[in-house]
Amino acid sequence: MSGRAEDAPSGVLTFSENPDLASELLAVGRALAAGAGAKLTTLMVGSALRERAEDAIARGADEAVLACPPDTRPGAETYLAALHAAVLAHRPAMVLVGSTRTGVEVAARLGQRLRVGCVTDALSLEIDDTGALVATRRMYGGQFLARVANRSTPAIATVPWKRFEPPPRDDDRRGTITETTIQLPPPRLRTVAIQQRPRSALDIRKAAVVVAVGRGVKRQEDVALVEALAEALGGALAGSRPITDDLRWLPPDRKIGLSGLTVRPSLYVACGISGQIEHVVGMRAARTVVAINSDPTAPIHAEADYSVVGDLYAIVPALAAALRDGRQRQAAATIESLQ
Amino acid sequence: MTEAGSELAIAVCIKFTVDVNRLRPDPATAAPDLGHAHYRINDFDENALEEAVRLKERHGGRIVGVSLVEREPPRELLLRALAAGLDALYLVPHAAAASGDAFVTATILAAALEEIGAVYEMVSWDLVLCGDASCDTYDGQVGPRVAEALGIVPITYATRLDVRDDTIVAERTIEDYVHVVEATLPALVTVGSETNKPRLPHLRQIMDAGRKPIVRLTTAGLGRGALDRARATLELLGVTAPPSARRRMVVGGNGPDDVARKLVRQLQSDGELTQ
Repeated sequence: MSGRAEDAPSGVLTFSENPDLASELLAVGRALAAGAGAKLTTLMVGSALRERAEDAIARGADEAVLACPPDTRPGAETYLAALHAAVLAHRPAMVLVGSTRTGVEVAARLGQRLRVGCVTDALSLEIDDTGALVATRRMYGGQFLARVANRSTPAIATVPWKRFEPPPRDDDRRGTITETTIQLPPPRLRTVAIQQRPRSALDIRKAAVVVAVGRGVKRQEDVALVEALAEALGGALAGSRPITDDLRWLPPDRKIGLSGLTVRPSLYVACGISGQIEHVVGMRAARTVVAINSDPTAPIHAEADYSVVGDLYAIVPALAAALRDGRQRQAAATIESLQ
Repeated sequence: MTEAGSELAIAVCIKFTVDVNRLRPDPATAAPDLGHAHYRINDFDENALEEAVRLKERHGGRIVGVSLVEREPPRELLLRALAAGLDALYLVPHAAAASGDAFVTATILAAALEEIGAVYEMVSWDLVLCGDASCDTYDGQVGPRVAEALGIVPITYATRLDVRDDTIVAERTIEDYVHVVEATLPALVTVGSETNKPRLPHLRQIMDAGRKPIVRLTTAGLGRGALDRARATLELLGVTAPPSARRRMVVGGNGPDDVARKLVRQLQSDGELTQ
């Protein structure tokens, strides 16, 4: 274990309650620790963590700290207590936390307790010549990128899911596994129930084609028009925030945007979506974008490869028909070639 | 501070932000053109305000808004916040308000909340409501940090809440799960667009807004030297818009069927219609 009190803070401490994200953090942590010539420590909270600890060491951690809470109470309060204790014991220069909702709360509260800064949702992290942790993150709804220097000690940052690949395993790597117990204050938040949210059978993040519907659709029953286009394209139906949150015409796991999901399909068709930044952030990584909107000044056109300025009530059914027609002719040609 | 079953003392943290949908990059520098920016009440803070109004309708009480501002926001926005249901609005001017340093924001807001609470001779607020995040930085830190600074329990990402006597019950949305929790007041709750749909104020509320108090606090006057304790932790090095690589071709034609055929042909030649 590192950290006599008189040593200057050094090294990187990582934590995520999500095991996949915890592995991904090791990639960033390893790069930052190598730059600083320092140690990479990862914190895990819970029980029966030995196997995960060994995996973390094989993937680049020098030390895995296993914090066992006195009871099975999970949640932000427990993680915060464990992370705070680990910071005091190990005195890292940097703390990386996975950007789950729980992770952001834990990182922010740790920052306030330690009176230090935290950069959330860092897309990249590096150490500049002055030793500051410099992050890039989205700003103003995602249409801008900001570079932010965190000069605190420790400097805290949170890292989003799937941003980095977990480092490959190297079974020859050796490291230390330390077990600690943590003290918890009396619980202030009592869990009454935990329920899985109703989920769509389809995960829109995995669809190659996504067709999204926005406020240009006037009645709930007209969503079927856009759904028919999604079917003709063999794609998934999604929506912008007004459709899922305000009107509730689609479930929340079909929401594309900053407050919803980010998708990377090969083809993205926006139907009656104005292109508010909230939405654009979630679809910007699509390979090809088609926008159908009657307003020629709608910002979605600037985010599109192909724009159709017209009434979606006319264009969408015509497009679905043209696709079905093309597919039928193709099928007929295939059958003919086989006969 | 309130006895069981009595009225609620609610504070709502409000950010007057740049309207990100109307913010454009400066063509020369790719930096945000803040000189021509429009301002608005942060959308999730409108949800927080609406939720405060709903709680007051059920339980009675008082709703006070507090906002850290770089400079005086447009008066129509202040009136809009008051018309939505605030009983009073406190503004705390501070040069660091626009820096997006959540430590500074939360430390000053917490000190202001204590100061305003003292004005009303309260030991503590029953409830502090915040938006989950602000639309400009989308940081999500201020709510949990204010809770930590005030020493009260945070309930983040609440999509439904109710108060019974001195207990708050809330549904939180955490990734794929709904987490139903309860806590004894006081508490800080953060809410988002799923929580409610803010109502538009009636004419009467709009007319009354002008008579409600807007109080300006100075950070120097805040207790326990808030300013000294709120040193900047972050430095914004630069903000730029990454260039877009979209083709931006307008597909036109002679009626919807013609447009549709042309678009299908184009997507086929791009290899996007493989099945």
